[in-house]
Amino acid sequence: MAYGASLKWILLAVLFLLTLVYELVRHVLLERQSLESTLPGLVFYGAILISLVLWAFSKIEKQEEKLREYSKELERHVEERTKELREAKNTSEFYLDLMSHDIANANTVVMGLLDTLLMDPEVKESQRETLVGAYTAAKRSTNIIKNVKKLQLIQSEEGITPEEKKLKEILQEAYGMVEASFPGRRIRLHCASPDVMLYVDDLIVDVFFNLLSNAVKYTPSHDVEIEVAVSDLGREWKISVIDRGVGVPDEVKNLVFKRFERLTMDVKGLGLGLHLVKTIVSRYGGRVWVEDRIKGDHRRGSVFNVTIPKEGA
Amino acid sequence: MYNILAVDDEPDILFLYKTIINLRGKYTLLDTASNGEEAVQKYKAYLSRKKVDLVIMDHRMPVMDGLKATRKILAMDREAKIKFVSADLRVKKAALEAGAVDFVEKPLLVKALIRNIEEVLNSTGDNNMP
Repeated sequence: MAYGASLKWILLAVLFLLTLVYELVRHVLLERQSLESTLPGLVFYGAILISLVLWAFSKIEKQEEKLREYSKELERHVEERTKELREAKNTSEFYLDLMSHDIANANTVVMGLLDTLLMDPEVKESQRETLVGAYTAAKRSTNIIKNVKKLQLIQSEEGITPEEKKLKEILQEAYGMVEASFPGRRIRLHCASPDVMLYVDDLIVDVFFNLLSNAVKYTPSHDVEIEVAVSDLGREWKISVIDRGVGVPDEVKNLVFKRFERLTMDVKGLGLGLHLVKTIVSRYGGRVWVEDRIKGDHRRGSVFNVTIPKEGA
Repeated sequence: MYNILAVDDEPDILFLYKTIINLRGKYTLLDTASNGEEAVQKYKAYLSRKKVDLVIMDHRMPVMDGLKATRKILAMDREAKIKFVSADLRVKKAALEAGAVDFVEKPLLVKALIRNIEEVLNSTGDNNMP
């Protein structure tokens, strides 16, 4: 608006300048009048022109001054907002820290004591069910904290160094964690050719822990059969976790890896596990997707595929 | 019988260690400490009279943290076996660099912890497993 107003006055000044030139040409060149007789008219137009130009410049200067003030105010505002955001970030980190340390400690005690009771052969079967229920709830709370922490770690990129790791050892570690997470379930893991090296970091264990956990969670039977198949795709390894669980319907296949989506089945979760899997695998430059174990019949189990690029690929 | 020194500022966690360790019958919870400084003092006191086979060390504690305590204990006894336990994954690298034989993420799972204790103690080369 301010510059629009100044522009209006500048245009007026140009108009006067043109009029002045026209008058000069008309009087001196066309009507052959002497310059002396033309001079008062020229002075008149000239004076108006100069006044207009000066006025327009002062107007522009004032507008520039205002603009500078606006700019300073904007900078102050941005600075204040940045400070507020930094404070908000610190507060959120504080709560996350509190959650990951203090609540993790409390969960450790709850789960640990329940676990020791579950190991006691004198505990009755009816009591065992109650204990497993309490243990599962505490475990769920722990998993939420763990996943949130891992996502924060990935975002901060602290302490992550890729190195060569054996898939066999990664699977063993993940399997140990899964076995400990589901007391009372019989979980059998078959792996055809696990003897490959992956160029990854420690977070790879979480990928397979989440995939194997999901396979157990979504298998309604007490006994769980999980197969891991490895394929060489040239520049990358494809590792497939195959289960015989309730499967993933076609309409949600693309949604399961998204944040806060979860399958509307009888098993609860925060939907962070598969999102974490995708986030970690994407960092390695790999892909994740899910398909039916038996093509066209999702109810007979799923195949969760992960690709990991080979070193230097 | 293996002797374990458990270090954590949470009494509930120490109680859990006591329950787990005594459950197996293979180990004894020799003593506990509620901060790094106390752990160093206790380790020093045991050094001349009784062997501490394993120290389970927390990280975030008042007075002295787990990293510092790990370094001090290892400076006293290069053979010390320290199993580092923390909810903070970012200290894993520092803990292993400080000389811890192992890092376990909190929350702990009992079975995993027991298996882990056995692995660490078996790696000492001691064949006197009961």
